[in-house]
Amino acid sequence: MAFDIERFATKSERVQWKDLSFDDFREKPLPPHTLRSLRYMCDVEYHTVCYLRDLLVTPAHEDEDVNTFFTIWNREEFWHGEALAEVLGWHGITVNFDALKAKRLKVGWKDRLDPVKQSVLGNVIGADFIATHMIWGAINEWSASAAYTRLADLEGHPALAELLRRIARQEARHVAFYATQARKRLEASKKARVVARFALRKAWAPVGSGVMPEDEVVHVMTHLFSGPDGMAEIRRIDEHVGRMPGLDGLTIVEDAMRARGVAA
Amino acid sequence: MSGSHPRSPMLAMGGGPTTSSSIPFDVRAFAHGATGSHRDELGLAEYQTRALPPDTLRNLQHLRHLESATMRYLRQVLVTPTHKDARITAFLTTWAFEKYWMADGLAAILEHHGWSPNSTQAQTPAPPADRWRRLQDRFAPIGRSLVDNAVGDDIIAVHMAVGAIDEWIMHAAYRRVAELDDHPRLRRTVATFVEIKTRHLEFFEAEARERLAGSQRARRLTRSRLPRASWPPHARRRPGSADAGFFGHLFAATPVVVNQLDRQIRTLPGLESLALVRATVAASTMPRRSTPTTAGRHRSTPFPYRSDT
Ligand SMILES: [Fe+2]
Ligand SMILES: [Fe+2]
Repeated sequence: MAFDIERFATKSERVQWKDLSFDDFREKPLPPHTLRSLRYMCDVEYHTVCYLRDLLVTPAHEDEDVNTFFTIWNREEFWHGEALAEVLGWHGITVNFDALKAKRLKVGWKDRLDPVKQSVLGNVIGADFIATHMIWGAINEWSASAAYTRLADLEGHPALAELLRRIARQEARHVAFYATQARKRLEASKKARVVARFALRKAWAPVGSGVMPEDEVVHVMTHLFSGPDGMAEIRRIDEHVGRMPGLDGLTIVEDAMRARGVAA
Repeated sequence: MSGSHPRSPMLAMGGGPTTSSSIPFDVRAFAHGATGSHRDELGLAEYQTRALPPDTLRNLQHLRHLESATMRYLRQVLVTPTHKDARITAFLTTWAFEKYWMADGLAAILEHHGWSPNSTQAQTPAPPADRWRRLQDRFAPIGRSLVDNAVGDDIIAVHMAVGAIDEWIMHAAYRRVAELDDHPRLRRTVATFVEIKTRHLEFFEAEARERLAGSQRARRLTRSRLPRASWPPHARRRPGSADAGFFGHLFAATPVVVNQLDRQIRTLPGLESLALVRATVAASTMPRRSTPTTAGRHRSTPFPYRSDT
């Protein structure tokens, strides 16, 4: 299944919410634990540009179609951040660029070395390391899609649920790009498969960990994925990963949940 | 943005004040007003009655190539502390989006004329001798990252100045291309693009002025980092690049424009001694590779600066 990059770019629009009755939040505000999760998701969306950075230091940036995707994807994610900021705004929670900046500054040291490490690895192993970035991206997008769908189900608020489903639909298109790229690149190279398997087992962590405090990661994962239905979603992500060339049998997402005390 | 909901107005995202204007650039409003695809407004049918000549089409190829360089710019910028400034990254997100669609619009005009959106030079695979340079290019962000992280926030001033200068030069280039072949339809498209790019310039210019005015270190750093010899900077790092010589050739016959641009660039704090566009023209009109007998090839430039940093 090829990913039609031109179609993706042409069809892309910023997620809409003007038609949704957010006024309902006045009568029925969202509970604090949901707002806490939304705040996390909102921040992660705005931080997409930091993931973009890690992708751009690899040789992947030499491909025009890949650059097209990055451009459109990064903008769609920014608007996910804007949409969630709007919901939070109705609850008196202001997300501004200064606060986001403060968070990025706090990440500090580790963050500084990250592009260096990534770039060295990426260039030493060459094009084969792109596959790792692509499967990583696919897992992030599967996770995002699962998270939004879960929250839409958990929180019966109709306007919120509709917004989250709209966002999830865009996440699904992001999945399609990353998964197509990952499959193609993993199929093409044994080295790519070995590196990806190693990197995922060694270093995979839920989207947002590293940027967000661990307490927040645990809160969101527990809120969205504990219980049998939540864990079923998690296992579905692992199954997607397992169907990729060279990645069968990995249970990295479930392992990451268990490590954070998220129980079925 | 609905007026009735409790979030504070857009100004909350507006960031700090700038020196060039009392109204800070509103990044959120900019994102809201972003322009996407131009394909429905290009009036391609009008080129059927009067096609663009090859020279113009070649120029459009260059402009398209330069508009699509956003990820290359981000690659340099995001590995530095600039990526931590959420207001700047929010701007760059929409900036890259708008530039993507301008490049796409230019591609559509080229394709309508049966031309490839890429210049032939850009399509030629790198010769083996260039492989080492490509390898260097791959590693460049690493060294950059280490150095620029040590430099800290002042590096942001460099990136903003590069953005502003590029906008000034690109605006002039668009106008010149439209002027060279007075085609009413192309003129209109160029006017649309220049209007979009004016917002980009507003952001970069305000940021550059404020940051340069506020820090001597930023001024010194920017002075030392800006290329003196040619624009765009990446064309100098990669000789044989499709973009090398484009601006120089384009502006060679219009010294008034060249001086105007240089005067504009020199209004940026700390860049008072720069004659970047004049040097760009000089570099493109000089023979690319002078023979070894031409002593001191770079120093033979009739301008009082060295052509490399
Ligand atoms: Fe998203
Ligand atoms: Fe996504």
